[in-house]
Amino acid sequence: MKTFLRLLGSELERFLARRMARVLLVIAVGIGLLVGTITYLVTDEHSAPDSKAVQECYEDLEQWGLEEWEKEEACSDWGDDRFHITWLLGDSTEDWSSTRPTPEPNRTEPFGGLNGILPAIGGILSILTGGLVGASFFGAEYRFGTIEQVLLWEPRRNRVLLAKYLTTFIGSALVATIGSLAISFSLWPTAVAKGTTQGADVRFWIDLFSTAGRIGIAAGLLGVISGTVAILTRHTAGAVMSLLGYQIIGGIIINIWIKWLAPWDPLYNAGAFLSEADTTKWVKQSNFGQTYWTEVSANSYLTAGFITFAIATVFALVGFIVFNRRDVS
Amino acid sequence: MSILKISQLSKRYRRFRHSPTVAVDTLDLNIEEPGQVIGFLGPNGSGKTTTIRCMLGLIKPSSGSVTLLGSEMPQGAAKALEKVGALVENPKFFEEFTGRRNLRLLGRIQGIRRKEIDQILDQVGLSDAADIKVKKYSLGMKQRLGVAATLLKNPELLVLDEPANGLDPAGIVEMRRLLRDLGDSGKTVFVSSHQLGEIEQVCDEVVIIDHGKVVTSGPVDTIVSSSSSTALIVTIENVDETRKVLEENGFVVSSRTNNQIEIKPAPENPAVITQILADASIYLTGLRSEEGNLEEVFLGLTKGRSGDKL
Repeated sequence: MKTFLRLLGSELERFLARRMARVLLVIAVGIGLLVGTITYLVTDEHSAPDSKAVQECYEDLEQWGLEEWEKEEACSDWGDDRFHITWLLGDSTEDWSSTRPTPEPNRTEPFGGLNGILPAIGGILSILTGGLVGASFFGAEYRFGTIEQVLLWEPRRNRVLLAKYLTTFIGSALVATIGSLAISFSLWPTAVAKGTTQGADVRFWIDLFSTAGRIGIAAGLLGVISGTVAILTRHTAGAVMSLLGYQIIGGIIINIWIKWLAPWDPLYNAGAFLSEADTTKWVKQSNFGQTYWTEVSANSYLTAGFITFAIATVFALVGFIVFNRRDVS
Repeated sequence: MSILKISQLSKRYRRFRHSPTVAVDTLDLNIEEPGQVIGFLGPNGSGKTTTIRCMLGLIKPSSGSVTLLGSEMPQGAAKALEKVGALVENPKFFEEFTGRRNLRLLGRIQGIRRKEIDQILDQVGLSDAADIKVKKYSLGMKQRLGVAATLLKNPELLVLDEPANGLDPAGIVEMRRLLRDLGDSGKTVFVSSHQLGEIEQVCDEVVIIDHGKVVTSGPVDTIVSSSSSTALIVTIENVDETRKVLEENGFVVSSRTNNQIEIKPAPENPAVITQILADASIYLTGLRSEEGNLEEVFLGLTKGRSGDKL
């Protein structure tokens, strides 16, 4: 155990000193600063509350015969262009705990999850971080031949690979979590100075940090998958191209020809997990003699997370088999 | 306990739509006595590095067995490699890290302290460059760092594949001294090299392989003296006539500059030559014996083959 911890420590140190990890972190923080600055510049601090716009909204809705509370909900922020910090997680402008989207129990209608800025950016961030970090961490070992050096010091290949997978998971998760928090907090000055932090209650902060954590976990799991592809291809670029190809072509093929596979797509499940959304599946339904396809809820976000974990584990097992059987030369 | 025992080792690489390439072919090797420096020689592509990789458990043999320091490889690699320091082909380090950091990362796996790392860096003459990134190292410095990494474990057996690659003449002399010192201190050093002169000076024993098989092995002196590489040099006025006479008598001769003729292999009794030439009314002005060297033995055994395709 002590030897393994030393090996893990050595791998973590190597990971943290890697340029790729630092570059990704700088890019994430840079994007955060850019988004923060642009948002700050385009936000109109004098736009709300605009009673005239709200009044017009009420008048427009008169013809639809809506209830008073419905009109109030639809028009309360009409003409309000201020930046609301709650937009990080959803479209709420009220207290987050009272308006956060919550799924119906025993639903068949798919639950869309959080539709804010962070889950949207988090999907891209986790794919980028996990894909690039995993592929480069393993690919570089083959490129520089350093895997041979490590195996001369610790020939138990299972231990070496386990340490590498753990490092990839921890490293990717750290970079993605820090990146997503950096993006979130870069928007804080705009909310304070030109917008509002109204609605950011305790539940909001819990959700914000747990979303950032889930983005990290998704990135870590995608890192393990990407690392395994790099073991198979023995090449960073090969792994990145394979994943990119899968994301573009695989996504199209799954959505058009093999829809039944969609609930098992790792990228789709990772996306659902980090945004708290349901995954969906297509089922045939008949109504009045007509048969048609309809999209229904397949799994909750926690199940989606577990499926992503299971797929990453299968990939890791393939990695262990290949790494153990293959000659190092 | 045997240091290294290789029995009928073969390694074949399968190739798509081609017959397999045989890198090592039923190779046998046994090193029993510790504290020796053993040279491992062979032309490029003769199977040296593949044999070394099989020894270290990096690649699995197609057939045969390797026992390293009493442990069957590759199953017993964890136990055996604790006492083995190895440098295979070029040293492999993270270019963005300093030399010291690279060693520290390796040393951390076995809990080696910083002080010991500094001592090793000093031993290989890299103390001043220890905090420079490896990408700025010359080939010779990387080679020294590679040797430093092998010494970190304080190993019983050192396996060094071309350790003098890229070293300047002073570095080669230092490396030779280091290898000899290691051998004298009781460590067994198994070194493959192309620099036959170096091997001859530093090694107690040599193993020569070609086409994946051992061609000869044993103490350097025995191999050099038992070979037919000793020549007899005759100095004479009439070179052409002398050559004709000697060739008629079944000797293999070749001309050299300064009226010299080389007879190789040399006859056991040089007086035979003087007698034959005197009978033909040819009187030589000089006769001397020239000892062969490892290079000549090597070229003779491997038919001067170079694995490099031009």
